[in-house]
Order: sequence, then structure tokens, then C-alpha cells
Amino acid sequence: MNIELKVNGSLMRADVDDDTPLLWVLRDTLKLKGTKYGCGIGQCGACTVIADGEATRSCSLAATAAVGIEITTIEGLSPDGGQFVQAAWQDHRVPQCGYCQSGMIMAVTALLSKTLFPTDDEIDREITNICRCGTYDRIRAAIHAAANNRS
Amino acid sequence: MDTDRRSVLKSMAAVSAGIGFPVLMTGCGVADRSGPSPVELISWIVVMPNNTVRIRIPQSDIGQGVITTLSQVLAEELDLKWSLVRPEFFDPLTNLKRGNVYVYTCTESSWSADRLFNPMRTAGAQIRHMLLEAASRRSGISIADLRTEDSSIISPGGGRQSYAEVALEASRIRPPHPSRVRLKNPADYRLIGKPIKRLDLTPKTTGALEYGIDVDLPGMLYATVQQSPVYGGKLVSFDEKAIMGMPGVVKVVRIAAGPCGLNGPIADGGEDYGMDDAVAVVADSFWRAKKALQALPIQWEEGQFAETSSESIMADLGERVGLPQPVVREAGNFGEAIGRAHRVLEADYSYPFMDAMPLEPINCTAWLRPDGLQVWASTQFAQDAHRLAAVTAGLPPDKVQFNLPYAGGAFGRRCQNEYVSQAVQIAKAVPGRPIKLLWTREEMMARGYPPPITMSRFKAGLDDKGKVIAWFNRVVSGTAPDQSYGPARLPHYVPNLRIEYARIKTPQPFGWMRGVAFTQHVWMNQGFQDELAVAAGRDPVDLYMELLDESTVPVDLVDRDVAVRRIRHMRAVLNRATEIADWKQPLPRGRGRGVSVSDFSYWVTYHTGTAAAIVDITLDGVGGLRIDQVVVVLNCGRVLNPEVVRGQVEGSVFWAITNALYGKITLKNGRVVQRNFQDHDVARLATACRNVRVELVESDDHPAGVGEDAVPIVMTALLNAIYAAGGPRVRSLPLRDHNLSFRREAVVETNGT
Repeated sequence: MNIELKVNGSLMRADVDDDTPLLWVLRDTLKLKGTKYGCGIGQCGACTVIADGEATRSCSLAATAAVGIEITTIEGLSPDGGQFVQAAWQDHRVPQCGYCQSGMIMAVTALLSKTLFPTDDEIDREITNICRCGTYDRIRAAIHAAANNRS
Repeated sequence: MDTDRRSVLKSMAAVSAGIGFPVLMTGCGVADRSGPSPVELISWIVVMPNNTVRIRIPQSDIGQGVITTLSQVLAEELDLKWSLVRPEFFDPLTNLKRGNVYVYTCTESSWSADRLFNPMRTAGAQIRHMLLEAASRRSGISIADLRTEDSSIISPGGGRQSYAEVALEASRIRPPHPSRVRLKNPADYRLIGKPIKRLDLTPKTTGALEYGIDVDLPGMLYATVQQSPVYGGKLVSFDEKAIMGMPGVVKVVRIAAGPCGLNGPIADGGEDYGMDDAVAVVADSFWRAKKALQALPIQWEEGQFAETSSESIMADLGERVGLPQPVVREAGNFGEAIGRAHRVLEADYSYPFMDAMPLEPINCTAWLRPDGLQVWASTQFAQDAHRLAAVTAGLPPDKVQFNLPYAGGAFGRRCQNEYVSQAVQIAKAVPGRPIKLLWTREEMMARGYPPPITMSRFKAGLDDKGKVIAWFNRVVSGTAPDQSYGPARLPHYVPNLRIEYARIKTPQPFGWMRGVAFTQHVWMNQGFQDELAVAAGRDPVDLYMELLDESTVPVDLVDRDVAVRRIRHMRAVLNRATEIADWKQPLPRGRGRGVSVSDFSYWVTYHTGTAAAIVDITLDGVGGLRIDQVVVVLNCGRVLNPEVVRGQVEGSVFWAITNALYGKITLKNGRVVQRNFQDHDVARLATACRNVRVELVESDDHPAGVGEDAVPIVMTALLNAIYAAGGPRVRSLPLRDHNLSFRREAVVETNGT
């Protein structure tokens, strides 16, 4: 079926099966490949996007259910990496392989939009994404720095 | 110049801009008369007309940062201006045609720094000499009066010529013999050893970096695959009629089992690993291919492992560990010494199957056309993937172009290239159309390459002063190359010692998961040593120091100097770690501290660092564990980039935590039980330690690998800390399977004080 999605402020059309997860529409139809596939069951968070302000695992949301929702992907932050979470990630040299980091940055952007200065416990509770390279220490430091430095 | 190849490259580059295509130009004969052209100099670099320099990186970047650190090495000797450096991945076909000009291309064993430090410095120095000679010929100024700086040649009067200006002339100059170039004095390094930001840092925060999974080609089809769910099983039949009517389904492809690549560097031989029969569905989207494959009725013949389970393997190992096995190291007279020991301890340790689980699922894109085959795959071993692609396609190697994108983690899993063979088999079934094969996470877990399941029996004797006088270790493990070095190449020289080692065949093919055999044997050895220390009422650091005594190294040992050096390095990092962690400071009830020290010189060809770890933990008494602090001190020789090295150590810490807490793959009826991350958790922020302290020892030694050193010692120190905190003695993994409440006697002890 034909649907219209609002992604990064633009209306985009896609022809999808009823049950196609948003992830695959973003990646393979709309060619927004910064959103990654890791597990397909909402466990790892590599596919995290922001949907109406909420960090959302796009592998577990049917594209048809995303109609009418404002979706932001990593490409919708800052193409040159200047958004405050991205900048903190660079300052703290967080990425190793980098594959999980789009999802991490989206999850953290959503968290910081609601919680100005998250505690370590709040970070633990809210950011459940998987990083196999083990950049967690730097992620935590970068979240605090982003919270403190946002303009 | 191979014009066919160039035209293929150009057409491919046009459809897939951004993927790191090698610009293959030789210096001579390709100059475009209409203006300056890129100039290649001795295979390692291409000088672009705007004076940027492309450096060929003969390794895969799997997150460990070689795209930056190896660029630093070559750029140092060549005096490149860092902002003009543009690394790109090497081309396996070029390497093949030029007789392995890149020296070492397999990305494994933490070898990049060790193997490429000298070749890349030498190449930089050779090229610098060629550029200087070209500038000298042009200007008439002698080389001795010229110097290089920031990608330019400076004459005595201050005149500057860019490298681009003299590159074409330089390409006609014979490179000096490697033995004749003088390398820089390390005191003059501007790039090596500096915390330069990774060159891929920004695109890894914007989503712009392209991994293998992101390859996108016009008209591309998508495929996903299922291998025999039972290891070694055979495909009997499938009913494609059941799914051919599903939307978007193009084809069902039978994929033949077969050799799938060399699990090890070509130069060193290596073992060819098997791939089982598989079925792939090709469709116009990944989602449709996945749904159709799930709906496809498939008949498997399950084969010899249909009844095999982790339990049956453990029972087999348990039986064999009770019987004599081949002796791989012996000294003194164990039997006599154990007989006169003041105290004798015995313990059995075991290590389960595990899985590396890189976050980017396995994928490979292949496109078979009349003029040749194009392949894209994030692999740790591109050279062998290229060979395998050609063999599978039945094409001569020069008809196969291999492109190496960045990898979303690898950790040993991408040493095996069976997915390249699968993708090429699929591409052959749909000629003319590019296909992207992508495995599901479920398929990845079903078909991992574990370190060997292992049982280890220890027996040791202490004298009346608590000194270890006799040491026995019998190891029986599952499918693996000979890893007897794990138990046998201990850094200590207990006077009476016997090590036995044997292997049995287990269903899964072996894999070089990060930390490899050292992780299990360092933990088992030092877990048991910790038990000895406790039994003798001794501080484990004192016991380790006593075992790490250079005066005990036999005088007639063949590599005695190496053995002594190991001991000195281990003592030094252990000492430093105890200072940082304030080792002697007592901890309150429920808290514990564990220690471990090791090097990877267990295996003589493995050139990695020496490291010590001290881990502080808290047990809440009702099963909860908190990791309060991890201290790691690492001596890895010369540090190429301290920020990158720290990242590797931090990553190893969390790798070890995952192994300890969750690491276990279970077999039942020949199948892997775990299906996805819901059945196999990994360290996350909530389980990760919030206080990781890494110290790097300053050293001028040859750089050593850093990707794995901290894995075994952090796991060992963590598990020893659990006992020190009053928890159980952990002799099997993962911790998830243990009750972490306080031991009965620990409760009695603490209540009594």
C-alpha cells in the first residue's frame, strides 16, 4: 500500500506491505541508511529514531503505523555533526566501529529533550541500547557533557 | 595499467559513490595530457593534484581505528600534512597482482600495529626519498639541502614545492631499497604517539559512514539465508511453490556446502573451514525475502550432531578430563612433589561456547556481469574473500573486483568468509542483478564460530610456607586449532609441573573470538591460583609475584631472555595496578577486589601487550552484583595513538564483563538454543562499570597489539573479586547461572567478627 511518512520534516511516499517495519522503509525505500539493523526485535536499539518526541525502535513499528507521526532519523539532526549530542560524541571520541551510535545518539537526544540533567541511574534506565565495542564509559560521559553544554 | 579494470571501477564508482574505491593509477603512462593526474607511488599512496594523499590501508577497519593509526605511521615518515591525509582500504586484486605488496592484510590477532609498523614507516621513507630526488633533479639543489614538511619540499632559500608538483617525476625514480632508507628518530615524531582524532569520527556520528550493510546499487535485489540449523546437516529439499506467489519473491536458491575460506593468514597457512548447505530467498526487499524464507518448507537431514547437546559434550569432556591425556609440558617430578606437599588442592573449571555477535549482521553484496564479478563485504580477511569469490564464481581472480567497506564490529566473526561464498552463489543464480545478502540476527546466532568449549582440571601442592611446589593441569576442549599454549605456556616455572591437553570434535567450526584461548586459560589458571592463595592465607598479589620470579626461569631454556622479559613486564604492570587501585586498602563487608595479570606471549607469534587488572565489586547479598571500579595497566610498547588504545582497552573491559555475566551459547540437538539478544544479553549501560581507569605504560618498544589484552585479566579479576566479596567461587560461566548470594562460611566469618 502507498503511504506518506513525515521524516526529518519532509513528506515522503513509500509503497510498502502492511507489516513492513519502519526500519526497512527508512533504509531501503527512503535510502536513509544511518538508521541501522541489529536485531529486528527491539532489543539492541541500533534502529532508534525519534517518533513524536519519543525514542522508538523502528524495527518494531510498522511503517503503516508511523503515518501521521513526526519521525526524526540521525540524518535529521545535523549533517555536519554539529547538533549538541553529536558534538559531545566527537569531543569524547565515543565511536569505535560506530554502528550502534546513530541509535545511541537518537536515544540520548530524546532523553535530553525531556530530562535536562539525567542522573546516572536515569541514563541506565533510559539508554538500553547495545554497543558491542564497549564505548559505554564514554557514552555516559558524553551524555553528561551534552546536557551541560547544550546551547 | 589495466584499462579494463579501470573502466569497471569508473562505472562502479558512478553508481556507488562514497564506497572506498581504490584509485588505481601507476605513475608512468597514465598522465592525462589535459592536466595533472593522480599519481600512485609504490602501491602505498596516491598523490592527488590538490596535494591530498590517499594512503592504502592494508587492513579492515572493524572499529579498532587502523584507518587512522596506520595513516599516522606512514604519514609520519612521509612528513604529510595531516589535514591532507585521505586513507582508503587496499584493493586485494592489486595486492594479488603485485605479489603481496601490502605485506600483511588479514585483520586478526590484534596484529595490525605489530605487523605494519615497519612496512608502513619504510614505505613512507622510501616515497619521501623519491619525492626529494625528483625535487632535487628539478631544482638542481642537492637532496642533502632539501627538507620535507607538511606535504611539501622546502629548499634552503625557503622555496616550497608541493608533493603533487613533483609526484609524477618521483614516480619514475626507482625506490630506494628498504634497507637503505633512514627512519626518523622517534624523538622527532609529530604524529605517531599523538592523540589524533579518528578520521572517521564525524561520519560515525552523523550516520553518513557506509558499512557493508549500506551498499546500495541500482536494480539491487535482497536475499536472506538459512543454513542447516543443525551443524553439519544436509539440505534434502524445499518446496519453492509454497512461496513463489508471495509478493516480491524472485527466486529460491540452493546454496551448496563447501570450504568457505582460510581461517588465518594466507602466509601462515591456516585451516579451511566448512560451510553447511543453505537455502536463500531472493526478493525485491529484505523484509519480503525474510518473510518468504520463514514460510518456506525445508527438509533437512540433520546428520551426525542431531543428538549432540552442550550437556552431552560436557559429559564427554568430564569423562576425558578424568583420564590421562597427552603431556604438552613437563618439568621436575609432579608425582613426587604432590606426595610431599603440605596442602593439596584440586578444582575443575569449565568454559562454555560463546559468540562474538558483532552488531552489524553478516552481509555481502555481489553482482555478476558478463565482464566480471563485483563483491562488497565487510570482512576481516578481504584477501581471502577475494580468492573465495573468484573460486566460487569460477572466474580468474582478475575478473573479480572486491570492495571493502567499514565493518560494524567483527571481534573475530568476520575472519570467516562463508557469507561471501553464499552471496556469490546467489549472484550466479540471478546474473546481471546485484544482490545484497543480509543475515538475520537469528541466523547469526544459529551459525556462530565459538571459542572451544573446555574443561580444565587442576591439582596443585603447597609447601608449609604456602609456596606452590607442584602444578598439574589437564585440559580437554572442543573443536579448535592446537591451543595447548593456553595451559602450557604459563609465564611461571613451578619446579614440578605437568600439563596435559587434548581435543574432541564438537559441532560448530572454531572461531577466533576476541580474547581467543587466552581468556579461558588465563581465567582458569589464575582463578585456581587465587584459590591457592586463599587456602594458604596469602595475598594473591604476593603469590603471583612469587610465581613471577625470573630466578626460577631455567638457565638452559631456549628463549630464556623472552621468558625473563615477560616476567619483568608482568611484575611491573601488576605493581602499578596495585598502586592505582590501592590494593592493600581493606574493603567493607560485601565488597571485594580481584586481581589478574597476563600477557598474550603465551603464544609465541602473538605480539600483544602485557596488562594487569584489578576489579572492585559489591555484592548486595541477595544475588545482585555491581562492578565499582576496573583498573587496567597496559604495556603495549610504543603507543601509536593513546586515545585509540584507551578505547580498545575500555572495549575489552566491557567485552570481558559480557563474557563473565552472560557469555554462553547452548547446543541442544545440534542446534543453538539462543535465538536473539532476548536469550543472550550483553553488557549495557546499566550493567557496565561506571569507573574504568586505564593507564598506559610509556615504552619505546615495538608497538604491540592492544585489542584483546584486557579481556582475560578483567574477567579473571572480576570473578576473583566475587569470591573476595564473600560470594561463590566461580568455576563455570556465565555468572547468570550462579547464585551470587554470600557463601555460608563467609556469612559465618563476617558475623563472627
